[in-house]
Amino acid sequence: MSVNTVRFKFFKKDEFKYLSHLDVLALMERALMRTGIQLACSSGFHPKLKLSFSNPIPLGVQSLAEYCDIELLEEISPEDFTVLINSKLPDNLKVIQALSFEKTPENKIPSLMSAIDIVLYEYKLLFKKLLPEVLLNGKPSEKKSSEGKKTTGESLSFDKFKSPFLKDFKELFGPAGKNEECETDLLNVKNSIYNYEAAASGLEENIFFLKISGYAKILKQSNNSIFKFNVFNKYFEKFLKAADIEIRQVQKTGTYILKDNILTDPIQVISTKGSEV
Amino acid sequence: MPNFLEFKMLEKLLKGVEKPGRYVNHEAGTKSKSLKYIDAHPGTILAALFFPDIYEVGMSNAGIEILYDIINKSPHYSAERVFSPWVDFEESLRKNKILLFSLENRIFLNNFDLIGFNAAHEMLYTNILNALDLSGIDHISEKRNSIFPLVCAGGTSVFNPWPLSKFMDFMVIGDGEEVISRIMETIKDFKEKNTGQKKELLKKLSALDGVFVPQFYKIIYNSNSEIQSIKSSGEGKTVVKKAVLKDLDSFKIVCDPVIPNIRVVHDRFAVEIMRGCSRGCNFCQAGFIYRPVRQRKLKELIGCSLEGLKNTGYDEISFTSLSSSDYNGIFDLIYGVTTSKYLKRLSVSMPSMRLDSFNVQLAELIQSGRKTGLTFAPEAGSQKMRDIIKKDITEEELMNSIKIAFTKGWDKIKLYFMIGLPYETDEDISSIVNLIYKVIDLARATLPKRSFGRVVLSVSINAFCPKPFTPLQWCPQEDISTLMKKFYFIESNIPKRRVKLHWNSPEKSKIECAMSRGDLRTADVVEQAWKNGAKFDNWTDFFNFKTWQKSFTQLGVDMDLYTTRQYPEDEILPWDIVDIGIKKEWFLKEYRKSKK
Repeated sequence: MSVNTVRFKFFKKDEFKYLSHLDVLALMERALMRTGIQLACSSGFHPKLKLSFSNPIPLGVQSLAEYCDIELLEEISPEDFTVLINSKLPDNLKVIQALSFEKTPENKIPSLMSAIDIVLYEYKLLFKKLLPEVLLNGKPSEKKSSEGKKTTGESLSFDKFKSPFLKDFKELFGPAGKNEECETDLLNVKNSIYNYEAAASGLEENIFFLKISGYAKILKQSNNSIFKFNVFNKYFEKFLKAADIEIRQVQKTGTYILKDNILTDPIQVISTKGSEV
Repeated sequence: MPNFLEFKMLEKLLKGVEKPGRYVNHEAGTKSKSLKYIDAHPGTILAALFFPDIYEVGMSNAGIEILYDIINKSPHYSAERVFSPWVDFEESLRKNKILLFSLENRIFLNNFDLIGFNAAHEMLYTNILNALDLSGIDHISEKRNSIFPLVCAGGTSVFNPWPLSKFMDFMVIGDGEEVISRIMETIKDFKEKNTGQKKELLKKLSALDGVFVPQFYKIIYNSNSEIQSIKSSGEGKTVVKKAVLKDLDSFKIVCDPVIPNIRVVHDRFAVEIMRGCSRGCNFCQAGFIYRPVRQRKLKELIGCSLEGLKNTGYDEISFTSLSSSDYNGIFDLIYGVTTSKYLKRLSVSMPSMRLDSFNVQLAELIQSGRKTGLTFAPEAGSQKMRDIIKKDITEEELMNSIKIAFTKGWDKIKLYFMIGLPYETDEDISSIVNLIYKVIDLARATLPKRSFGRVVLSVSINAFCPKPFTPLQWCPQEDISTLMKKFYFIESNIPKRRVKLHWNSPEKSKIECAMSRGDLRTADVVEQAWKNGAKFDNWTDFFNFKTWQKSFTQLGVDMDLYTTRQYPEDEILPWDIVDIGIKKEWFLKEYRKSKK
């Protein structure tokens, strides 16, 4: 028998970032109940909705890329599903994308929790002393006289620049050397980072972004640790304080499955899989 | 436009605070007017409904929900909710010198027209004072120079209004449904005329049913610290009649309640099916002050239950009242709701069920499948004691119901007892032990061997606390050391392997007793205790008996006057000023009966 499952992506912003994983789960359950959509339940004395989420994120961090699978007892188009559920959800917690798929013995889709490989966080940082270009490039960028705007909008790969900030960052958080000795916590942080990128804002002075992606699970081939945001953030805050840099915002912007070594969106994964079958 | 706290500032305050979800609002079902609306309608009367405990506790309170709904239905008023900040957030507020604000629009409390506290029980008194202090509002009524915000209180523990009287501009005794609209109207009229003194406003309010204005009354004491008389200054009524909502159905059940975003104490859709209790247990204050018994109509109840479940998405419904199994048509109600097509995974809970053999069958209907446990409240071990407190259940009946429960597959049984009851002897305490043994023997005889092996009875022991408006209101509370002796006797004589014993602190019970039978001097003690650091007194980790003892001593007030003292029958009681609809003579008659 096939089961109709909808995988959806949602964001939780502002007030809703202060809700724990379990609170969001309960909130989503009640919202789904209110839609009147026929939902599948587990059997037993205390039936539960068949609902599973992507990895929990820390309290107080907003996310633009949360995922959830829900099993339904009726056929409903992803568009209708999105409209219905959004009519029951608050403004700062809404579904932005959905796709349905069938779970069959031939088409096995692993649960979100076990499938997610990489999580991506984005820091918006404010330099108090230096312009971002100076920190990133080592020299100020040239102004385009016609527009008066800075041009360093594109993302800057980490290794290309020998900027003081990135050099220091790499020293602290880059992959640990073979015989490197440091605190276990920090060592775990180093081994949990998948990639990082920095980019100047281009629009606001003294603002730049740091994207940091970490492993959500242990992958056999990379011998990594699991990225724990709070532990990383503790070290990162200390690091920023020393450099006189302030965190303006931090949010989770991506949740990915590694497919042939490419970061793939969990919804895209099922859509390509669906077309293959 | 009222002053409010920006979200950015809230975020700063929330750093490192436990469970920030308590303070962020934006729940589904929120009904307050927006700031934009308030700005466009400058005459809007703002009311803050304050439950003086944390969000999780307060959001499970039905009173706040009802008043919130009624006030917000009017285009002229807006009500917002407020709960006590937990100690870490209080620290954050005080450190940053930010005053307390409401949940919805984060309006500072001193910008409201009315602040209404729900004094659901005595152990919340100190939190009320702390809340006023955190709001930058003087906690003493007389010292508040501006008319607004008016500060009032309602709820179970204002039936004796004195312990909070010093702090309140007025109090509301009884059902709030009808009187809240009159209060809001009175404030609106007064504000529109924009003239007059606070006293005139209070005089108008005091004319309303159930409203008590403390400053219009005086207690005159004898030299032996007994009350000589309670005098009205002329502005107040001679007695304050409690407000009674005659027909519960005239106010529809709130079918679109606020749905908390975080887990709260009771995460379910609650439906009040009945108000009042006809049982008349002698010790139970709620049983008397919420009379007469009023039932909601069955048909409406089924309709509202289904509507509410659909609106909220809850998978649990609770039929609440003081004794839900006494509702006429309870089977039809449960059947009508549980067989609805729409609800596939609904569980029903009924707090405070009276478990006679008939109702064990009822319990089976609602707990079909998973048997979470049943609570029986014999209250006392011997028939003599149960007769004295008018708990009309015989041992035979009790054993019979427990037997049915065991036969039907329940093995988690909870038993409630009170100790320190009037005229209690050692024999009566022994009979509690005997009763526990009898239940264990019954389990051994009834349950299959394998289930019996893991049976552990849960037994809860509480100290008796004589309360105003009960026939036992004149009785002394037993002193702490005797209560302890009795408890240790029980503890050392029951089989530990078979019984898990819960024991509520007799010290807390003593303070509860002193507060509930308190007067104006008790109000001073509440103030002193709060100054000495008492707050969250209902939280075992926070309650500190020594703080209270010290506060009584500092003011030279004898705690025993309100607790272990036998009140003479002819003494003027502080709460004589309140008329709940049952005459003092009737209580006295019942009291004398119990003596026999």
